Amino acid sequence: MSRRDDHPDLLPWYAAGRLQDEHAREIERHLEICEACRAEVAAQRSVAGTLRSHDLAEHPTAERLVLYRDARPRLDASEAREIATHVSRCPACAHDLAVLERASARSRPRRPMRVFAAAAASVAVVALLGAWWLGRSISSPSSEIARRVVFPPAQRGGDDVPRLTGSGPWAVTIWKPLTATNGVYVARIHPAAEPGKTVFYAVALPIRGDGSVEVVVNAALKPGPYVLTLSPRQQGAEPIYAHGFEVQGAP
Amino acid sequence: MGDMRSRKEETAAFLAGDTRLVAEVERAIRGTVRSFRLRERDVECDLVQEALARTCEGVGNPRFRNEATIATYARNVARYTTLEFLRKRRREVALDPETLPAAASWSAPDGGLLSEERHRRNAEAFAALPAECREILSLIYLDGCSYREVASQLSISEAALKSRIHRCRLTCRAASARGDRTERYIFRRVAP
Repeated sequence: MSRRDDHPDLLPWYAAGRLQDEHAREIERHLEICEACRAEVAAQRSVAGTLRSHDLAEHPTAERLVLYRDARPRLDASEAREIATHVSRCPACAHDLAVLERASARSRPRRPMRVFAAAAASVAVVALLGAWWLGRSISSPSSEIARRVVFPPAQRGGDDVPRLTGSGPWAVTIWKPLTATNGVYVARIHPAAEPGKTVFYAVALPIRGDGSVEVVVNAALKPGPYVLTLSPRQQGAEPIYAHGFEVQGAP
Repeated sequence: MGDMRSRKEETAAFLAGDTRLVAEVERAIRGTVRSFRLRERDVECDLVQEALARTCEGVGNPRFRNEATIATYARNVARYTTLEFLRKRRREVALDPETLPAAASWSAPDGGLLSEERHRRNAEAFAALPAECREILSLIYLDGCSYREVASQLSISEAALKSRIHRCRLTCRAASARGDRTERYIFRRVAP
């Protein structure tokens, strides 16, 4: 870990308390004999303390910071000034803006040079031909779902236990009860014997506008009996639907 | 005007569960969350679901203004949802005593005990550091990033990160030495 001047590279991580025992011990051995590094650790700890104390202060919400970064018209001039003043004094928010900036730069579509565009096109053609030759289709994630399963309305459940076979993912269609109101619902799955252990959580998206919702179950579920519940998204809301089902291993 | 009408139609179609639109929105959210390069895949999945739920709620709200396409709106929701998560995680790291080794006297954590004056001087010293140095130290101290994660966040190789850290540490040491001299000078002035 040492180089150039023999002082450990990982000192900032040590000062932040982010090192594994082995590396931390190695640095502590160095600190026993190096006064300059001891002073550096003390100074870095002190600065880290300041940065973290700023982080516990009151900040613009993440939503306002995103709007500020994008210079949205929804943010009036006085609020924008207020946030600018805060950011100039707050290392944590300045860091948040840098995080947003980096993320935006990564998700921005790039404009490749013509040569690279041509090369990419050639690769794409070869890939398409390869996929065709292998008899596979290049498709959207939803069409990659191997099995579609329909969960009947709870009151009509009876002995009809739906089965999810294979290794998934599965697109599960759930018929909401007629009494269900509009709104966002979340689906949770727990083992039948352990109601408190959620093994899957996802937003249930409306489909076809006919009162049914769809949940793509992409968790690795071990074979066995499970229960799927559907609840309004609000914290602590009671489920409006619960249905048992069984996962069977690969056929 | 026409744009606004088509966006209203798009909103109605999304709320009715248009498969193509829903898949497009989900892709937009997933891409945005991924652009933050989080460590844990599970967290990434949870954030996608959270952002998707918030998008559905927002779009379903009668006050939704149709100012942009649903995918654009969803990307923004995904950005602040992820930022909220990062802030929350940062607080957990800051408050976790387990992360602060205290095997030797110089490693005793003093972050919470710093005086106002010390905070002010630290903040000024930090602000005076070069941007690349502030960036690295913020990722380590605030986000608790590992060596590899810092390199990944900055989209640079680990070798390039080594050089940056070396420069950064030299700058910090120089600044620290200057600070010490200033402190001694001030002390001499105020001492009786």
